[in-house]
Amino acid sequence: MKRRKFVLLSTAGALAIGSSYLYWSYSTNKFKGSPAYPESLAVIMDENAIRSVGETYRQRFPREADEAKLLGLLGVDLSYGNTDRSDIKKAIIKDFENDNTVVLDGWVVSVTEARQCALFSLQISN
Amino acid sequence: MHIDTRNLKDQTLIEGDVCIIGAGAAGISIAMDWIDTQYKVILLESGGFEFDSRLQELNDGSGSGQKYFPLQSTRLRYFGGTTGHWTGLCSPLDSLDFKKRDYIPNSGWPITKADLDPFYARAQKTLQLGPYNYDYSYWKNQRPNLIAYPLDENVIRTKIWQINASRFGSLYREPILAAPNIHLYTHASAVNVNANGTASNVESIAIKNASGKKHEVRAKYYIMACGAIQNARLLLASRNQATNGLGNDYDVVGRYFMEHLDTKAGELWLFDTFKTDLYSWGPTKAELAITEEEQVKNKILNATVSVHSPLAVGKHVQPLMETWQDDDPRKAMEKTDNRSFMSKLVRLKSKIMKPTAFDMDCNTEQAPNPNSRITLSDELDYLGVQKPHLHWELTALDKSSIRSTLSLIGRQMGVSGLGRVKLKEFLRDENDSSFPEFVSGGFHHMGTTRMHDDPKKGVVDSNCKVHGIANLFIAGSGCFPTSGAVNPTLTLIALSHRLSDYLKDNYGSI
Repeated sequence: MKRRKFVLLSTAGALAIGSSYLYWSYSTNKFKGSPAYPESLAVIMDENAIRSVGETYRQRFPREADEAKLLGLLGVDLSYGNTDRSDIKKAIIKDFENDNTVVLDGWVVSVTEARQCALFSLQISN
Repeated sequence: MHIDTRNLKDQTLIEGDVCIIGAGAAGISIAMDWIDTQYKVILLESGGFEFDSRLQELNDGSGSGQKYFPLQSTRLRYFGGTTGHWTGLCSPLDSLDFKKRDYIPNSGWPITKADLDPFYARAQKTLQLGPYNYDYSYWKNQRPNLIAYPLDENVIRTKIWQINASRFGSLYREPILAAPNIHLYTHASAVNVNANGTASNVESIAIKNASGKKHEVRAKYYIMACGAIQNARLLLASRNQATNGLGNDYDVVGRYFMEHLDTKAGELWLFDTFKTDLYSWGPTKAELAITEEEQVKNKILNATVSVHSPLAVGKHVQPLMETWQDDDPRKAMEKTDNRSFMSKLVRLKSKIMKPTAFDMDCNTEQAPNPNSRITLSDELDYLGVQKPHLHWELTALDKSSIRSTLSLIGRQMGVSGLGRVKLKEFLRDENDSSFPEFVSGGFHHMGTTRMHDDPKKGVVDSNCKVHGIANLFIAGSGCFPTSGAVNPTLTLIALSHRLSDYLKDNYGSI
């Protein structure tokens, strides 16, 4: 009985942890493929930091705190099939050149990057 | 020639042509200029040749305002002065530092960088540095591995430093003692500057030592070279003929105390490793700075930003303002050097791992502020002189300049695609002009006897002569009207050489 119970409990525990990980992994990786994912920032920030930057942006600019609005403001084709990030990269550099920047959680980021983070934070919480 | 005043008969009269008060970086540089001249130079040093904690107590003082180091431990009172423990970082002020900037109240020197250039070249030799050349391109040719980040040169410049911690105590002891016309008096603390009845001429300097003996020094010219705090203190305390202190008819002495704000202001996160020795500690190193045009455009103070310390190391290093809080400079230094065993381990690991994240240590000019000042406290030191009181006061411009400097670098990092900058917590609220306690100074005391053509706005004129007093001069960084962002030693030595030449050229006619 004790041994059987132990095996059952262990299996249930492993399944719970495994499924949680798989769900988390699926939900985050799903967005990593999107051009909305802040690829450069992801080199130096973990996902919690990116999400926090996005949330801070949404709090600072509540009028933009909407997925459709952010997609429109980013103004590039962000459909999941589109893997071309060159427009986004150009927009980010242009932002820095034109001082279209914002300080969020201390990070000096371009507004395009900030909107990417905001979008990411919305998508990952849905 | 060396004379220990403790061995002199009490009330000895010492006479010479030029009397230099203080044998630190400024005083020794001037004394060296006068070797082999026809003039008898009296060089007074409060201490001896070694550290003496009893004498060190004479640096003690109180403080208010922004947290500061214990005054007693910020200067060394012996032959060679504070060069006895400095780090040797040298770089000249920028041309802009000398100019009046409309957005910085009380900015502007009565001299230009070009006026000082020949003396900077001399100061390089005094400090045993390399050639007087601080152009990045020159040093890049010398050492090809000094590769700068590819940032827009119209916004970010490469500020070069030369490093040599010359210890004047050992470097210049022999030539000073061997010089027949230089008379070094040790254990000779100046306690009063005695002026004539109208306070227009100095007649003598009263000196004392711990053994209780009092002596008097008479010379044709007097040069105060005791450091920005002690010079102001001595002038304020010399009230026999001037109720507000000598040279203080317009209440300027002691005001405009400035430091360099030295703090971890941000983090630089590179997307990839960047192989260069340019920003690392060596005989020559560089920091990031904002071009003069961009400083003016953004209305900010000058600053330099060091990016050599890996973030992983910095996490284990306490701020200097926390570790340097002992009255005894030896103990303060020991605590600072041993800030963390862990940091040394991480530094070793970082050398192997090639870090991509760095602390951004910002050294910022402090805006001249009349409320940031030295006054006298009611407490006396054991020689009977009132102790100094430092009220260190910072302004909103000081803080906004740090924030803007980091943001400008952050923008250029974004343009170049090299990485991103993250501001430290205390800089994030644009409406908060307060400073946290951990913001440090660089032990750089400046501005308390500032240079200005107008006696109402400055203590000394453009030749470092005290306004209204014919034969009294001041050497040192107390004469700086603005501080620039670089360590003051090279500039104060250049100014000292300039003062030497002026006095020699005009000897007898001033």
